[in-house]
Amino acid sequence: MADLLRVENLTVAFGPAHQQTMAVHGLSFVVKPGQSVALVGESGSGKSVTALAILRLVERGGGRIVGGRMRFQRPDATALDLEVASEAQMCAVRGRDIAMIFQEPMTSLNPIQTIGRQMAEVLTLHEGHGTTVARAAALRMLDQVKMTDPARRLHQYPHELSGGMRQRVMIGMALLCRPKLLIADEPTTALDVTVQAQIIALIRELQRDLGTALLFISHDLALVSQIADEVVVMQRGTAVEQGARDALLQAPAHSYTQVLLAAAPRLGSGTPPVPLPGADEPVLRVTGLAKSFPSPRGPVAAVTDVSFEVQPGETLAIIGESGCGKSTTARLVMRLIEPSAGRIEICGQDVTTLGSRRMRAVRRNIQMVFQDPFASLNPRLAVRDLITEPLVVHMPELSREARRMRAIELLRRVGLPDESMDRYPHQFSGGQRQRLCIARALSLNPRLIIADEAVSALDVSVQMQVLSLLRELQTDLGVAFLFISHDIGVVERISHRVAVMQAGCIVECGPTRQVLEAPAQPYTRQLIAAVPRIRFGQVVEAA
Amino acid sequence: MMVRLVARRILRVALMLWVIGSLVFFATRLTGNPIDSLMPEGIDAASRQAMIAYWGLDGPVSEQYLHFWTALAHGQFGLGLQERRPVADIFFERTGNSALLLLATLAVTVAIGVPGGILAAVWRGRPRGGVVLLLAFLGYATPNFVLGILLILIFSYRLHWLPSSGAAGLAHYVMPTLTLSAFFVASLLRYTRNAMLDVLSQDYMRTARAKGFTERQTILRHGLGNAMIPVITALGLQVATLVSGAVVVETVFAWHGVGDLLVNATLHRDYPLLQFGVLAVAAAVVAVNILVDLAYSAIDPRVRLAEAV
Repeated sequence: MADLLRVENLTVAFGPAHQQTMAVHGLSFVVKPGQSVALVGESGSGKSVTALAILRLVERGGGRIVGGRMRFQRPDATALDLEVASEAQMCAVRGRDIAMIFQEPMTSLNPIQTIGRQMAEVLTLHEGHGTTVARAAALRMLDQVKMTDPARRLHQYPHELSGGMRQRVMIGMALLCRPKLLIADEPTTALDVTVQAQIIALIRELQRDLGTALLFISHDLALVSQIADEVVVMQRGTAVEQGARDALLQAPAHSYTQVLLAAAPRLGSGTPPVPLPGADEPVLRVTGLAKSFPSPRGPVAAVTDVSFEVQPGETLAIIGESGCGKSTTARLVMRLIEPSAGRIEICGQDVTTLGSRRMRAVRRNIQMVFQDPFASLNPRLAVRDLITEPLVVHMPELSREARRMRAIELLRRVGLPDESMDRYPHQFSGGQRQRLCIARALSLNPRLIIADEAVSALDVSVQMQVLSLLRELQTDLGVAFLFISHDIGVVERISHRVAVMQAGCIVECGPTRQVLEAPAQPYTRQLIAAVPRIRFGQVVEAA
Repeated sequence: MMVRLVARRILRVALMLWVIGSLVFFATRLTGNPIDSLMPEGIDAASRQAMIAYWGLDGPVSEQYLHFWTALAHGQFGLGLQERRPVADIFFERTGNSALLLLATLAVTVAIGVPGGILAAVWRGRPRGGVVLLLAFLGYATPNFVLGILLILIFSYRLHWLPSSGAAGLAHYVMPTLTLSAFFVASLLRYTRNAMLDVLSQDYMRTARAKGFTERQTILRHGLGNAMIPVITALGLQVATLVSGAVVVETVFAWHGVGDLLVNATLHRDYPLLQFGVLAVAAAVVAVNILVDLAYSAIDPRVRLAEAV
């Protein structure tokens, strides 16, 4: 069969001509009609740039296609060389012959237009349909992407839909004109695992029904193994390995593929630490904690009844899907927000109603690391000031020299060179920044660190390194972690015990192994079943 | 819920009008007695006293203050000291002229500011984008009285193309409108440019491009509405500035409007006229701001009507 899309030696550059950097360099691959091809790689590998280059949208982001060919077989059997096609030709191809869905379902829809209008306009544009016909087609498509109550959705606005529903709208919108090729750029990364499983199943089903070819972009090899026929592993803009899925995943030839496979947090691949014997005094004890927020329609409960303990030197993970109340719990423990009910004890002291001055003294024992290593470091502070700032607040008597010594000590602890002292946050990578955040949290020798999705924004290989750092710190310093995460694969590698949260309650809590291998609650089982696993041979339907 | 929100809004407006009314009341009385500017010089003390009593300016200030609000509550706004006619009549004779000038200015502002801002955003980093911004900067930086006098010098005195004063016909509108709108066009243009730049990099714009829309279609269909949300807010905040700008421009072009009237009332310490005028203008500004809030909730479905009120 003729190739639907043949990419040869694609090279995309960014930056001014005299000092350009190559985001994609000499990439070649082929997508046959109806086939699924996956581009896999970590951030900066050039996979999204490739997708935008195919649609010729990369110029908008400051990129230039400086070499190579992208030959696309149009439905009328004529070939179009995308790299030299005119803007008018591209506008006819985009959305009609090649459609794309994006990573961010929350922001990829126009917030001030109804779903129906945004869907219908694709048909009006490409097929010249009138509004009535286009809306009827949009309605049928919403039904096809298994949207609940599709007729009502047409009149709703994006903010009235959940992330999973918005991604269904995006998929439906992309498929309205029956494109020959669908490009999906990390379509499920922003979604919960259970929703991810549904969306992946939906894409596969529609692809089969409509005969659409798929270019699937992901960082997640396990996910890719469920959907792709061909896999292209990308690193720093080039394909380091490519081939049929089974051959590639069973016998990865390139060392980078092996690293990716090993690093991918998969259930059953980690060895969770053995639970510690109960201590006399937990560093943190939470009893009957509850929090509701006011809203126009009466109070909304975010956390209804949460009780747990964290022992010295232990890691307790709280897992759950977005909106289950896990981050609210973290903020309550830090007393960043006031609880509606319940009791918080830190190192045996009841801090539930402590005034802000006395709470400040308690905060020395309990520090926090946040999800976004880019937003949680003040860009105008040099590292030496950044990581010792808690010392200025809590130990003002320390001299500059003493703080300097402490900064060096902390940097060495988190595996950063001494020279980092005088640099600024923007000079560090995401993983290094998270190390800085950890160093800052460690500066006061806290007994407990609350890590709220602390590795979620990092690439898998970097995730691994940060997780080992956390375990190492725990062994050396005896610090306890309250580790909040949606990622069960990550949790398995770090936590002694796991608490599963659903709708503001802890539904199950126990030693990691036990909870993950023999979950007692149906919700926990559902959560674990939805985690993508590497699959070989015949692809089976997702649970 | 809704009723309570509306009640709260009304209460807030009432409170604000009370504060403004009181400020005007006391501020005018700090400038001295208006009778002295009404009377010929060297008038005898008895007639002066009679005059003061006639205008109700003889009692203690607290009494006058109380009287001011009770009269207002009964819809009695008093007589203007200069013209000896009801202040409401004097005032509303002028509102038409001012409203026309403000509407013309608003129309010019939106008609030039919004497209100009969009072009400046689309042309970012290009020489023509720089030219647009430079023009905007000039409009922003030139004081309106300077611009007004400059226009009069060129187009009235030298070229004799346009009348320098009055509000008789369309030609009379050209220079006052230009003078008044220069600043607002410039600031709206910059607001629009910033809002548009922000919108251009949004994910939903990328979605629209991937649907196959041209850049122009993308901007008009998906960019414009979103960019207008912050622009409308900015526009609402500028209405008060627009009114104070009108005061200067009306004086420069001898435009018989509210601004011109209030300036004269201030010069002659015409208490009743000034009090009524300032309160009426304040009420109008508040009304416009409520309209802006309603427009805001109409354009952005995420803002509920209840929040806007």
